[in-house]
Amino acid sequence: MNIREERYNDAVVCIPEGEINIHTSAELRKTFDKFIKTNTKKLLVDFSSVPYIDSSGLATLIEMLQRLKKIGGNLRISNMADKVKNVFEITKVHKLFAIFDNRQDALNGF
Amino acid sequence: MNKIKALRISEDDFFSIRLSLEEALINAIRHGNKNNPDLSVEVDVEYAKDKLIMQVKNQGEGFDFQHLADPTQAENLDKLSGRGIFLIRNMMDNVEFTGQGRVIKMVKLLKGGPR
Repeated sequence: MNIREERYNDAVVCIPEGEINIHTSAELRKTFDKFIKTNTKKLLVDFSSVPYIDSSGLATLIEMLQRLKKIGGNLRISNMADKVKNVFEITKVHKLFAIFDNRQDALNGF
Repeated sequence: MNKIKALRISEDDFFSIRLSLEEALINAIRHGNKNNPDLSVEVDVEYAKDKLIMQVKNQGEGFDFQHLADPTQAENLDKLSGRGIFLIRNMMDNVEFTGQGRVIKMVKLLKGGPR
């Protein structure tokens, strides 16, 4: 999985390219570890290149949200495909995250 | 999965089928067989015109499938596990456990058009 990163002021935009599943979750977690080590508190995960997520992918995001909240940070999500959003909604995990239609809205006031 | 992909199934149905089958396989290997490489998982897929029937069988000790925590309850919402079967139940039209939970049978009624 290729994971791109961009910075907007003090927020980091993480752009995973590919499925977030049992095989790729570990790699995403490693990237998240790096963000924690570099003291990132505001993380936006841009889902525009994520066509699929499974329960291990949801767990990886929830775990990162918890880690960020412990240090006074937060994790926002943007640009979700409908089918991926549906997985969040079925499991009600969408209630845990601030989810935005696009990156600009997500970065506003972050 | 590639064989299922080759069938004339809508994209939405394929997403649900794939997610359910993969969640069932992960459960079978991790929770059923407890990652024991000596134990196997058997997968059967049957395709009829209007439905897909998938069965995943592990060789573990089984589990109490009638008393699963609801992952959508507030106290479970931020837990890091316990969503697989819930997702399967929501994505499939019928889900049955047999063999003390060692076998999961999942049925998807195919209503979408071709992919």
